[in-house]
Amino acid sequence: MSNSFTSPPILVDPARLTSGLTIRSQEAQRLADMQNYAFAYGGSGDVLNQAWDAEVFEFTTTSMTDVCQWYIPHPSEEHVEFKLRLSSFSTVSGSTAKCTIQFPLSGNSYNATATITDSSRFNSVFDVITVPISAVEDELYAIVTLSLQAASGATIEVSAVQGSWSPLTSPLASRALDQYGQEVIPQGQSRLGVDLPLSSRFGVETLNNITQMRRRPRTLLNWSGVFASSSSTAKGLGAVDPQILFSEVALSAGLNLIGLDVDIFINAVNIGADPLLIDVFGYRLSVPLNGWNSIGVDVREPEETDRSNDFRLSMRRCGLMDTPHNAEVLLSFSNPITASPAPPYIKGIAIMGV
Amino acid sequence: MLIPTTMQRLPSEIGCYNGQLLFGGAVSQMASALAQLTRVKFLGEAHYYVGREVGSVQGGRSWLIETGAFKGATTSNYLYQSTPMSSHLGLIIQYTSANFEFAGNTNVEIELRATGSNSYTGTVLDYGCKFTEVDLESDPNDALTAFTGTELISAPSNTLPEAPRPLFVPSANRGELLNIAVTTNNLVILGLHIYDLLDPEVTP
Repeated sequence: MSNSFTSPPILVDPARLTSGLTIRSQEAQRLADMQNYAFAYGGSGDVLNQAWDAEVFEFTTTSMTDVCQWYIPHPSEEHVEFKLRLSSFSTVSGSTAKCTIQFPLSGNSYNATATITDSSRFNSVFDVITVPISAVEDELYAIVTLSLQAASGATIEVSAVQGSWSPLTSPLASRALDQYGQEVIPQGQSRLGVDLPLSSRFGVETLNNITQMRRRPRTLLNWSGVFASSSSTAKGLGAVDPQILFSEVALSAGLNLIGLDVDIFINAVNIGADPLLIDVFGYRLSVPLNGWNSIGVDVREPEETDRSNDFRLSMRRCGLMDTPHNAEVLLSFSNPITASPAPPYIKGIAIMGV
Repeated sequence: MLIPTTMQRLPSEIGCYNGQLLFGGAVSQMASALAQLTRVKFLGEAHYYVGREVGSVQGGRSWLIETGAFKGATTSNYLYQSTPMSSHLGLIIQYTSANFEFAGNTNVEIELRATGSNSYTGTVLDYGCKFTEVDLESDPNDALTAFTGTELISAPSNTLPEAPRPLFVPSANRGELLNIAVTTNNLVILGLHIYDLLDPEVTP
């Protein structure tokens, strides 16, 4: 009764599942295959990406210092390995980078470090920081922090970061699997591969599994300012960012009808008595707190019709909106970070869909 | 079968209880929902924003690009974690380009490489495509986009970049970490968006 799966899984023949036809054991087996595959691989693509042009993100501090922070989705309790790939170099050997993953509700954090290998931009290899999650964490999201420590006399330059959770391997564990504190039951291939009645339990578990896996968030947009650097790189969102900081992503309208929404996370600084208002993804959002703010919204942006036709999906523009209001409140010549009193600004933003 | 692209309501769980007639329709809806999960929702995507120099006084981006941003051949590498479903990669490139009239050749080349031993120069998996001045717009003051399209091409055999098209991931490399090497001439990349392409019609 192995909970195995094939990669990629083969589809069920829908013609075999209509009333009046025999449901072959092959179809039932494929249903199991797809569920097991979806649990193992769903959400293990890119969750974090950002890049910087040459000589933009340089760092010379010789103590371990937090430089960037992102909100990322967490696929399940069973996904216990996160990999951060760092494209960077150090002018003197011995510089290090640390990746910390913190779960915001439990407060638990995990980290790992790596030595920066390259000595010039995209010279030879990127470095991989593998962070193991050693306890059961049942949260939808986690916070990733990148920290750097330059060797004496060294300059570190970061070119890009990419992060993803490692998928599970086949077969899945022979037990109920955990996702966000609830159970997902993997399906036994050999049990379903014989011509026996499809059990009631199979139907109930399959529906529950699908419902659970639909909840897994995916990253639509992720950006972090650079909190500490020795160069002129953006600490916060600027007035020109609405022209470029957006993604075109597939999102279906009516997600709210099945209890799903889009989550927006905003990391703010210098918020005073009045909240910072910002136009994002079709909404004017109120950001009342310093640190990470979480806001759930429904999809109401109109479809980007041209791209929808190309992708054959409902594509929408997701990100900062190019509005006069945003141009006014984001960092700019007329609203500089060095002003007194210090202006509120946004040092991180993430948008998660399903 | 046609792959459903949206999440549809599932049949009632009560329909699966003992004592109920479980018609094929309920199982068919489960099959459709799983096809949507594995072939639409969990398709991979990556969204790179490319940071540039900003004024230290402003602290945020107050101009699209700085003076002297356009350079000759410059290669950048963008890592992408593919999935076992990643057969074709579509790319949207946000860019700004030098004025064609005054610059030399303006173009972007895209190539797909493996990342064995964490190398940027792993085996070339697809020699990819090239956007030339015919495919690009000339405006150093605006954020523009270029797009590979979404044609589900068959395995290419070119050894030089050809006209804009999606990248093809050989079946042996699907699910691996990939490197999209982007070489620019007189053009600045502002953002790069990578998508697994949907195959809307699959024969089971």
